[in-house]
Amino acid sequence: MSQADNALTFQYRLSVLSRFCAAILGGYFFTAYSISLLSLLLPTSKVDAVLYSVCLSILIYSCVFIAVFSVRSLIHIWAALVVSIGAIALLIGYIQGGS
Amino acid sequence: MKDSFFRSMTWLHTWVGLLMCWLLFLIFFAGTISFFRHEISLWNQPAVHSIENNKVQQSALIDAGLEYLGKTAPDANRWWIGLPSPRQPEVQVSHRHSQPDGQRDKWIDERLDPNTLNQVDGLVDTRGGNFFYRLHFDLHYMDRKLARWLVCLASLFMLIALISGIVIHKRIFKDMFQFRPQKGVRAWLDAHNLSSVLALPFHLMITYTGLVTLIFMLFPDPANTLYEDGVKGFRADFYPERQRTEATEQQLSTPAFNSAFEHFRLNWPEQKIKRVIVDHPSNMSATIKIYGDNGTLIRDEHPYWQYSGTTGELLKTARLDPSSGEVLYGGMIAVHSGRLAHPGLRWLYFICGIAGCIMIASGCIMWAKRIRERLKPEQSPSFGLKLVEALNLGTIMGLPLATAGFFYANRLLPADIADRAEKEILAFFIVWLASAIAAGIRRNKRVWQGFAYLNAITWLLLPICNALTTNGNLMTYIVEGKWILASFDLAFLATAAAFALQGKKLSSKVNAVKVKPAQKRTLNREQKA
Repeated sequence: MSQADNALTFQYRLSVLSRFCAAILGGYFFTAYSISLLSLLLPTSKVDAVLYSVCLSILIYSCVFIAVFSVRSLIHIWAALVVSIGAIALLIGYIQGGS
Repeated sequence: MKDSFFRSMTWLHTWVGLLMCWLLFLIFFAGTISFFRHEISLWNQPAVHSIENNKVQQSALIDAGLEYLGKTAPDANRWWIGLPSPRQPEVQVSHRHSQPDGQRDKWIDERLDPNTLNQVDGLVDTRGGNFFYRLHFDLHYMDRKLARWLVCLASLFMLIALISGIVIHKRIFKDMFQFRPQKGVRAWLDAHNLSSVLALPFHLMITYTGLVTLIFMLFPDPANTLYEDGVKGFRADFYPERQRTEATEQQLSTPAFNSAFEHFRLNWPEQKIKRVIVDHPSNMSATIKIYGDNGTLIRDEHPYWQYSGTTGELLKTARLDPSSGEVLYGGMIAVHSGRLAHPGLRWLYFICGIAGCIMIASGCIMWAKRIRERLKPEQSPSFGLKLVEALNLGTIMGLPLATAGFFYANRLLPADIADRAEKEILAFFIVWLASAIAAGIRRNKRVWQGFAYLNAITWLLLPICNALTTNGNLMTYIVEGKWILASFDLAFLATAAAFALQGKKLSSKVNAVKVKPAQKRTLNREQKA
């Protein structure tokens, strides 16, 4: 194996690791924030709002997971995750501050 | 774009599948067995085998239970009366006692024969089906919280593997009816597809709802957002029945248990009861908690009535009319646990679970076979490949053997040995460890075949061991109409037959048809890692 090959596989492995991190951790936090927002928006009783949101969580999580692995550019993925999580967190803060 | 999506999903399917497949096999295997959790607890407790099906009215059983507990455990801080069901013939009468210096309260379990109302003698200390039930999400010898997080991660990977598997499986219906044995990896691929596709709705359902059962550990965020004290506050709201009642200084001289039950029977005459709990039975704060039986309803939590033990008045009720959120959440947990299933549906659950085990096992085997096929003759297999092969053999063949070991231990260990329940579990893990070590040393076709035959003989002898160590055997079970116990013997024999068949198959495969190069190419294209 040449040096270039080694470098390539190392870079490739790093990108795979990054993608798994984006899917598992990014997906987790995206889901956590978005279902928190959902629970705030649902016009039901508090218990029902919590139950509906947690039941949907796995659906959201798996969709994000699949999406992370279907988009080619890693930078796009991380950017999209960070921006959307930030936006949702801001929205949650706004709603909670307003009420 | 479409092609690259397809390829990334193929890659994803292979890797998320492989990374967690042994843990997933354990979860699926133990989970499938725990569909028969109460039946295994029954099998493991020969003293209750002779109990006839209950014909006594529930009210008489509750009275007898209260009377028994009043006599044997007046100073307990909790009584528990579990009423018989078709899956559990005996009345469970348990009592819990406070321990000094902050130790955990101690439960003492006893059983009554519902027909004679006498205490059942000769109970052995065993975890029964609860061992497998706990094993499938708490694992064992491990911190519970860490184990549950691992199980969650594995389940998530399972769900991702299922979704990506559907995407890459273009010809889903055509392949469903395709099985080409004797064709090397092809046969494994077909077995993998068949077991996945046939039971696909089950696999998706059980994985999704399995994650939902641990959801408040995984995602406490909505509860944290809406409640000031987070999940704790949510639980107080959602589970009013779990609120503790504290004991007072005063002793209760004349309990009003009877008037409480009279009120209940008058107002809900049709309601079947699952269990009755009495908190602080001989204290002024005595509380009676009645849990209704859900029967075959798709509900998880039981309807609930709470009475005062001192005055007999109704203090509160819960879940008599569940909200839509509870119907969704409780429904998901109910279809996961399958407590609602009558015997036919229960067997369907079990068969689908077995299909899941086959799906996972064939997936891992196929992965190792592919890599090995691609090796050039002069190449020696990498450590990774050896590890995968050893884990495959140790898990797929070792777990069934360990399960048989657990059943043998239950019958053969002396009844009065200390920590008997733990020793049964130890037997399970020793057999599994031994299998794993054997797999670590050698794992060629001959060893697979040896394991298959070993499993076959072990499972075949289990009904004989049962007949020699208990008063019943397959013939008496059938004559007396004890179908649960008869099914155990039949299931043991069927398992033995399946392993014998597998062993035979492995010996004929030595001169199996080699995959032709052309086939191999399409194969690689279809499922390329």
